[in-house]
Amino acid sequence: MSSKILVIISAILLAFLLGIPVNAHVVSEKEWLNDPHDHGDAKIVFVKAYQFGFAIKAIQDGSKIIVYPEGSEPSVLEVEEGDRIVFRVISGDVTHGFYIDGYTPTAVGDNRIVIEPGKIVEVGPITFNKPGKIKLRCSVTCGPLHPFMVSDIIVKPNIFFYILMASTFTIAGLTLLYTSRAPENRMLGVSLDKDLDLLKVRVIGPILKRFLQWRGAHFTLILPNLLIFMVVLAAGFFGNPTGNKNFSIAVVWILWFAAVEFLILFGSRTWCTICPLPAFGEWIARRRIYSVHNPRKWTSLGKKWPKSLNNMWVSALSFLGISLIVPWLVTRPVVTGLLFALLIAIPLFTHIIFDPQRNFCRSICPANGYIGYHSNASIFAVRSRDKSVCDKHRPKECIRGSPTGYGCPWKIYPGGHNENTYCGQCYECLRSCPLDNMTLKLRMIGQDLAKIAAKAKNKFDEAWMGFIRFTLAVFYELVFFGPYFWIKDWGNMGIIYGANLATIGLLTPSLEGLNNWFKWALIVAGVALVGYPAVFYGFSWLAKKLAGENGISTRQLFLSFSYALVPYGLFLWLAFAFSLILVNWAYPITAFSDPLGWGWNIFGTKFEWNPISPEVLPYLQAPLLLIGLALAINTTYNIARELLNDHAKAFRATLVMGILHTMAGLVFVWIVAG
Amino acid sequence: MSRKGIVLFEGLALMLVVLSVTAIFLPMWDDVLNPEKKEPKTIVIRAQVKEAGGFEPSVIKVKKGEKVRIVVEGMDVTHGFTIKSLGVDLGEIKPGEKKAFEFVADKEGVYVFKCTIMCSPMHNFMKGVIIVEGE
Ligand code: SF4
Ligand SMILES: [Cu+2]
Ligand SMILES: [Cu+2]
Repeated sequence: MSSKILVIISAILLAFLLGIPVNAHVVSEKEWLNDPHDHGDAKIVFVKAYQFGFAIKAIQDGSKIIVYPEGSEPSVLEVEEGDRIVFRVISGDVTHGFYIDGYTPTAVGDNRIVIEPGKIVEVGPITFNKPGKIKLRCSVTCGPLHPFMVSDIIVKPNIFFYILMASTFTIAGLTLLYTSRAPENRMLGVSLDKDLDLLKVRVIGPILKRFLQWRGAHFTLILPNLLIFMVVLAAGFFGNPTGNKNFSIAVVWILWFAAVEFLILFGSRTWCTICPLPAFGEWIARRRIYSVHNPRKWTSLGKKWPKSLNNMWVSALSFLGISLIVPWLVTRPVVTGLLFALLIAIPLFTHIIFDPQRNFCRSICPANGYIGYHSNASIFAVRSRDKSVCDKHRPKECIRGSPTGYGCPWKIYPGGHNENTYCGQCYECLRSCPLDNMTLKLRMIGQDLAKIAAKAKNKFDEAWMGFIRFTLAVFYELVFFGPYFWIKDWGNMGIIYGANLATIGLLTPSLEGLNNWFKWALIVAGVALVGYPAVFYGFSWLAKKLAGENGISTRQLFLSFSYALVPYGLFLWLAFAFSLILVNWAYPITAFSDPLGWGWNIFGTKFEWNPISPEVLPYLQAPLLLIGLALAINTTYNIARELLNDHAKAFRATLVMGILHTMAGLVFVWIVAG
Repeated sequence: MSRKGIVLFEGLALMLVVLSVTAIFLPMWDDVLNPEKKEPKTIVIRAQVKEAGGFEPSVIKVKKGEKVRIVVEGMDVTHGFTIKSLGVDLGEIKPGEKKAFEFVADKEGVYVFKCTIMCSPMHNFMKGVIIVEGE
């Protein structure tokens, strides 16, 4: 018996130690570039797919062939309308797919074009008959950065790009024309004084009110997300190491990331209503999940929260920090798992050590900063019906709490506030107010923005939040959907492996990888923290000069005008969210049925990756951008009007800032369509 | 709210919270939730690059005379699967794809299986064995 075990052990050792090549067939460059077929008048484009990009190695037109040397391959393929192209594709490493928006068949099942290593695959001839910019994408999961494996094809003349540029100028011009006619307290023609008391709307109002005043409402809304959150942790640590097959990545960084932008626009901080992160801390400190408990009996050391943290600096910088590792965060489940574990641990401590309010949410949470910042461009707000009632009502239950509701955990005065920034929409004030004076309002985008901006003294934190978000929208678009592989690779530190907890060691970067990452971090942080703010400051200075205003400092103009990025940034992110969800919708839906990426199919919602009309994406993104631009210019005017109290001066300042916003818009247009 | 009411509601809420927290143990449910494993005598081999563990499991023991069904599931990138000595070749297995075969272990011995498609720098080491043991 023992000899038999020995035989087996040695056999195993042998099998594992000897790495006998199983499939050594590699396509030689010669074999590949030497094209024996007759393709008529079609051009031949030699593409090498690699982790994680497409390199155009050579282009053959008739008997003429241009071979691009290593390192100087074009990132973008340019063809003329009507060109017939044959792609000769090989893989430089593992198996990839090949999918061109609007030209190759759907990427489902056997229709998929597969590029297996060692084989030459011919695609086409394809006749490029629709001018515009489209994307070449990988359609077979080939590693962690697979969803980012995209390249651009421009079918010239790129008329759509010219149209879009012209529209950008037109919209900017029209908006300026509109503001030149001194529209007071209006946003794109809609009065900013009008709003709708949602709780007074027939049928819906009373139902909504009953629900929100019910003590269990908050808990009920958090619970499903708590469950989802736990699945995120489980999948992040133990699930499939490849991001797009893992719940933690698919649901957080595709579904949530996109959905939250829409939530902001339509529901302000609605995400924070249903967010499970601070729930444990809050429940433990209060010693209640459901009912109201006297604050004197809470479990908390009650230390004073440091004053220096009462701003969104940490939130803003942690959002930037997260963005610096975004190529890892959104592709490696374990990185997301660790981040989320941290995000649930910190509020636990802050609640138990400091006064048990939403201090974590107000100052630390990386999502807080931008959700709060942009929520001032939301059409939704929690407000008092009549402020004078609040002012006269001394007990102030909305601050101090009552037997029916807690005093505001976000440490604001709900009855008197007129900005959304720090209103976490827990609706405790709806429950505590004995006069029924609190309600939900629908209003025009940016109702309070001009006043908030004009009053912003020294609010550098919010200004920089705006710059960070605005510039990062561009970087995200470039990293997720841009053709420039080096940007992704620098951020990714050149690592080709996915990772869960067991394989976290695979993420050890090389020295060169680290070096590249520093370069990438420097570029991103430099543009977000220094570059764009500096340009913005320059324009503010010009605006002041042109307005001929001496009573107000450039600094104040700079701070106040930065609030135009509240709607502008939000709409850029909406544009980004659109492409994220329309291209990758299949991943999150599948993840609900197979959260760990282990081949389960619990709810029967398994779908293959198959983008929804990706060729029209730029047409959907463009209007969002243009709306954002118009809002930015109009907001600038309103702010200037509030600050300078003079139409002519305000208009001239708006003109200067409008030029900057138009230029920024053109950059985005160029990225999505140019 | 009365004391009793508070205890009741808080207890109920706490139960629900505890229930959702147990979702963290989801990985333990593989045997129940994996449609493949519901069938008798099925072994699921998960294929991922060797750097991340290779075939899991990579050592499979079966009793002589047993009939087993083996499902190979692609995890990260496209792999292949072959057992030369049994004449099994499943071709390419894309991530998320599953391919299966059945075999009757009528001869004692060690059967080596390998990945057939270049999948990572350590692809050549991506192997495993099926050991057929006598009684
Ligand atoms: S601020 Fe952050 S942690 Fe707090 S509720 Fe909002 S998203 Fe959740
Ligand atoms: Cu690929
Ligand atoms: Cu393999």
